[in-house]
Amino acid sequence: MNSIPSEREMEKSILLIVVSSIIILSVVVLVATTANMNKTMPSFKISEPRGEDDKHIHRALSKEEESKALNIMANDSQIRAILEKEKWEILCSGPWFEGKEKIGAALYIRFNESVWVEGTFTNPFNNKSYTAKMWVGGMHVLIDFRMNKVSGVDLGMGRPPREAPKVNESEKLALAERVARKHTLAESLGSNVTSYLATIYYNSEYPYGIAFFCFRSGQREAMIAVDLSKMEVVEKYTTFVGGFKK
Amino acid sequence: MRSILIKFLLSELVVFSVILFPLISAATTSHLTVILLSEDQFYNYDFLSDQASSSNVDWPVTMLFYGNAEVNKVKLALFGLEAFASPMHELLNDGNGWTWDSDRGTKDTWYSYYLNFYVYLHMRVYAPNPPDYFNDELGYYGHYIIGTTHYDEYPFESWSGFSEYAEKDIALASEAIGWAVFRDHTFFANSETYREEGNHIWDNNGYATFVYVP
Repeated sequence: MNSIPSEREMEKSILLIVVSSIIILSVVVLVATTANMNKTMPSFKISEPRGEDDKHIHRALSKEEESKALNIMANDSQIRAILEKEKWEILCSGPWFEGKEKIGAALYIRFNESVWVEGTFTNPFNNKSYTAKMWVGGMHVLIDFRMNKVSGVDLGMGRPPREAPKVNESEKLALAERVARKHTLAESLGSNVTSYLATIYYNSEYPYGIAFFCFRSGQREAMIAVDLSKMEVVEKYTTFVGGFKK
Repeated sequence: MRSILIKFLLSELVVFSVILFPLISAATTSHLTVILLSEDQFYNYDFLSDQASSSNVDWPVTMLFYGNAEVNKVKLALFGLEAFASPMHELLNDGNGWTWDSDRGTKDTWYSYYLNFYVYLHMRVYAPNPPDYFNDELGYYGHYIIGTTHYDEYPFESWSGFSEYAEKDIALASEAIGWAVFRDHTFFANSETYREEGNHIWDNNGYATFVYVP
């Protein structure tokens, strides 16, 4: 004959059910989590690269080399004059190779805000000389350890933060700006447009100068290049500018 | 959006495997490998010419467009078909044997907030042609294509590089047209520390960004 379970036995049974439920649930969660981990972690098989010859390309600059590069850069009067204009950071630094030979250091300097720079420089990537008057947002500086000197500077055309300082070519630039303003890209930006000189380059291709004007209207921006000798728009460098803030 | 999420979750199931190809010579990179997805294979760099060697690489593969991707569809949706850039080459295998594809890419003038100056943003995309896309037999990635990214100097193009920043900017451009972006989704074993090799500026973290093309 079945007897009615006591209150204590009932409590014991309920407790047993609760505990076993928790254990089962935990196991289920654990299994599910493990399965999910397996799903989200594809099993890659990557072997160590082989090849003795090219190990050099993975070497970063040593502390000594970086320090040496910074010293050489700081002692270059032309670079120092640019660096004194605005806050800057070294965004990247690494070795500079010619073929398999590490010949120096490469530094990428990023300015907090574009700085106005005028001067004649050597582009280290093609060894060509150029004269520029331009807003600079960043620059590559290549340092040759064999000569212990700055090999060249490549200035990056930065966004003009305001009007450029007055330059000798002002009259010519005013005319060039009017030519640029009549271009269809500038006109397509509407009437509420601001225009700033971004750069004047003098190089072997443009010995009499090429000017770049930045036209802006709201979020839209166009870069229009004008050959200063012909006072004509250079279509190959004239374009809308894309780009989104990070 | 739901279908995108489902495809993304399913994509996590797929096992990519990377095998190392012996290095023939040692001029430019030591990270040249082949990426495998099901029956498909592709190199993790593109090449200057139809010669798959570590001394002949151009840029690392940093992008994968999947779902309903196709070479011209992706280029037209971004910056259009580039007519003047040099074509580069990629060696691919969709299960029917190795074949070369070449592409001039898609390119636009761009303001790089990373470098803080104007650049050209340039991406070349590759797939077996025809049909101009890989077809993932497992169905997780659908029709997919791969891409390499870099900046060129504006305006005179005296240098090229910064694949990683260019990848981030292509991701932004893809988002701007409404495509779902999964940044640094999969390791493609092509990380390159910052260094300058001639006018070639290396910088890549080795992880490719995946973009779902509806």
